[in-house]
Amino acid sequence: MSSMIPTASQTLGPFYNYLLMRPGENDLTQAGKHAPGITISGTLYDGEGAARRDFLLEWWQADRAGTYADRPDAPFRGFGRCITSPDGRYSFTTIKPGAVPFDAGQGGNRWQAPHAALGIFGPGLMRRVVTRVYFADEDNGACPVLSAVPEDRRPLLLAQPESEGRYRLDISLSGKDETPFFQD
Amino acid sequence: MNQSNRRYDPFDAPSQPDLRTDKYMRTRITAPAQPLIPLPRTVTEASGPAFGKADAGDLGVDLSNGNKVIGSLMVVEGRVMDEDGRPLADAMVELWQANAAGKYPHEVDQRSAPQDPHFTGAGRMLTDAEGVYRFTTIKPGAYPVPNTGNWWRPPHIHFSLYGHAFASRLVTQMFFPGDPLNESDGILQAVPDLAARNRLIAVPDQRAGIPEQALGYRFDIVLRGRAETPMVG
Repeated sequence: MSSMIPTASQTLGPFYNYLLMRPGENDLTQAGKHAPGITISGTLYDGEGAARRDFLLEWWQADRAGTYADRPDAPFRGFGRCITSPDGRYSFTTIKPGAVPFDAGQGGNRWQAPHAALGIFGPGLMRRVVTRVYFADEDNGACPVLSAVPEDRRPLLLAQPESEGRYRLDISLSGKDETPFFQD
Repeated sequence: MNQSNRRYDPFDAPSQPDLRTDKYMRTRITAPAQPLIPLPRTVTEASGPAFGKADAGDLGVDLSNGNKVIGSLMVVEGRVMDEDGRPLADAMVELWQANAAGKYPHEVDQRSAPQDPHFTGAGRMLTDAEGVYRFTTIKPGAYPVPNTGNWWRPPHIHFSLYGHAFASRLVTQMFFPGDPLNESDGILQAVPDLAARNRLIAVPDQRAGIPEQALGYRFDIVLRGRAETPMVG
């Protein structure tokens, strides 16, 4: 059996081609087919506090039952992407995911609180950075992954409800209020 | 595919670029300063978006636009594999690039170089059952990076790949053999390991080209992921 080394990552660069973005790619509800929809939005900042355009954000989540799609024709596909706008804004429209097993495969029964995995590519990032989005209005206390984040930084992963169905979460790649990033 | 019997090991450091590198100063303000938090692999990372033919859309695999695009016509072909060397079928492959003058169709690219109205600069397809992808395009030009002295990016093609898991996602760049700009490129050289850098350089292969029409290059890509229990034999 051969063993091969994964190809090295390189930066997305500043000139991502918008033809690669399909309209509605940041809408996981497929224009309301899945409901009730929620919208999570915010601004992406760099280490100097500047809002940054042309960063590619990728969102991956389970369905309401906590199950991940594993085929293209799954009812809820769970994947979306968004390129930050010239003023550094992003948004995803989706449904709330369910809690997801943590260690079921190893005979455990711990659960991860509802969350989305968020991968970020962009100019000045030599490889992807990975974080998670949790929801401030969920019971997050027992999530073994969130618990691995230093307590004072956990709030930086919580999307805050702003109004009915709308959440806000800003992302800071570095500097003050740096978003906690996980090993990829 | 059964996701539970696959594993996604942490990357081997020298074969991947550091997030912060003096070779690419922009990383100082974009890369996280805090240490990355260890994350046990959970079903979230071991699963990932599954794509079908409809997802490839109509961008297509032939960027030459009926030979109207200006530049040196070329075919790039390769196999997408996992760490066991097994072909990955239905992996989504996207590419984008500058035109032959080194100009991108992007408003941020303010350099005075000509656009090519016939060139979209982007393509997308799913790998076949053998993990193979193939695009027809033109060789991109080099271009200078603003405010860096006189750093020129060597000709390169951006690749975006989705394996079968969130953990196997990759964005990279393909370079061309023998270009002197490769040696001074802060982005290619940000990969510490020489062998890993060399794997980002395409291999000339006329079997991939079109006789008397298009140069051929091979660019194989390995995505993270292997069998949990090594197969026997």
